[in-house]
Amino acid sequence: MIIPFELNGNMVYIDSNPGERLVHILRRRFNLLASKEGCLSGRCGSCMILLDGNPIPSCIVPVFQIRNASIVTLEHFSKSDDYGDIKEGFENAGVSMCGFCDAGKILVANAIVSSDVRMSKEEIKAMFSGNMCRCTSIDDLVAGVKNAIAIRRKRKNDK
Amino acid sequence: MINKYTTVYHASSISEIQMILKNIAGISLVAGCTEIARRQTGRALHLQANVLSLAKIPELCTIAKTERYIEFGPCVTLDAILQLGKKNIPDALYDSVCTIANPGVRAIATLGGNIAAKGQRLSTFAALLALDTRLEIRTPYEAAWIPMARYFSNTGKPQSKDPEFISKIRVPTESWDISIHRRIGQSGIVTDRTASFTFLVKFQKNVLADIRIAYAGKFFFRKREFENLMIGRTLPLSEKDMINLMDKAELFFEKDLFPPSYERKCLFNLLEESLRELT
Repeated sequence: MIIPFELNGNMVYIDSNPGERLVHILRRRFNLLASKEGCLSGRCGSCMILLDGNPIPSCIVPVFQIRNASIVTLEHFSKSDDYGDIKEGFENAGVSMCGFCDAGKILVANAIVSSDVRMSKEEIKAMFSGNMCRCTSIDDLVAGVKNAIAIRRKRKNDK
Repeated sequence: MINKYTTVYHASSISEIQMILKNIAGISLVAGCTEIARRQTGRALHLQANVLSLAKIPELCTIAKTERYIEFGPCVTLDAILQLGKKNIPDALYDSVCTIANPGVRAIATLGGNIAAKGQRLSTFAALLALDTRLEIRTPYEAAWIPMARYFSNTGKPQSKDPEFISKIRVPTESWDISIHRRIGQSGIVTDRTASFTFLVKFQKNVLADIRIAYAGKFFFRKREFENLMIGRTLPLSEKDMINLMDKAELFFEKDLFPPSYERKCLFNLLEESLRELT
């Protein structure tokens, strides 16, 4: 089955078994290795991507579902200014980045930072409930997100 | 095993779905696919030979609110329901959606899929059953509104002659004085032990005006006869009333359908705990 979709800003077409998991397509066909293969049930967050702007675990998405959708992986996102805000916020809070859960942490953090809703500490923790991160504490992660929100706001105001 | 011959059809409207259902026998309908992914661990998901994807059909992704009810398209995602806010949807439905998986999964899982999943009843089922939800069921030829409690059956309903699908989910938005929703089992994931329980109460002055009790796991229960036993009682309930009602509950929740088990004990514990709110 031929499936057209936008990957990191470029239109691509792949011929694939419709049931193939998106994480495998990204890793094996496109060599985009930031999405890691973990639980294959959407619980660990290590395969997170942005699907039409929403952070989604790519292991539970069969490839036929992404027809005409826009996919952004951490490789592409890390070239944006938005990534800079998150990275700086995380660094200031001492969030460690082991590499395995980065995609989940960064893309979920970006969803929170970009959201118009002001979230409480508990709500931010709930947003990370789909990320199994063992390299940093959830309190540091919340502090990192709050730093990133302040940095993003400052950057937007300076423009 | 990977089915290499899966053909995926994409429809853009309800009439197109009806046309495809009429012409292709045995086609399976999917939206978020989270339930399929939950049940499989292989490298690729095993799909039926013919699959119809409903996920991006605008008519099935709408939310409409009137004074008395809120109407969801079956492909409305669980995340979209939460974004409506707690004030705009019944508490029991909001609480039940909150217990489902994590934000990433909720962004693609749909309400229709949560209701229609085969086997284990999922988290919103008990809440929607208690709220007297009605479903619009369409076949290639007609559409009909059916109460959810009548559409689903514990013992397996007779196979319909025509293929059918849920095209709307209508949830009454009346307010309840007490609304309790509990999920049994491990949080965030569905196992054989996962079940949900909803308890709704409305009272006028000191009289119990309406009560709804629903349970959904391997089996689902909503016993109007049991609820009617309680309607009209004066509140608070006495200890004698409590014992009497718990004894009656044993009779109403049939042992042949729901054999003595950990889940049955959970149901009775939750029922007792909820009824205690009325004492």
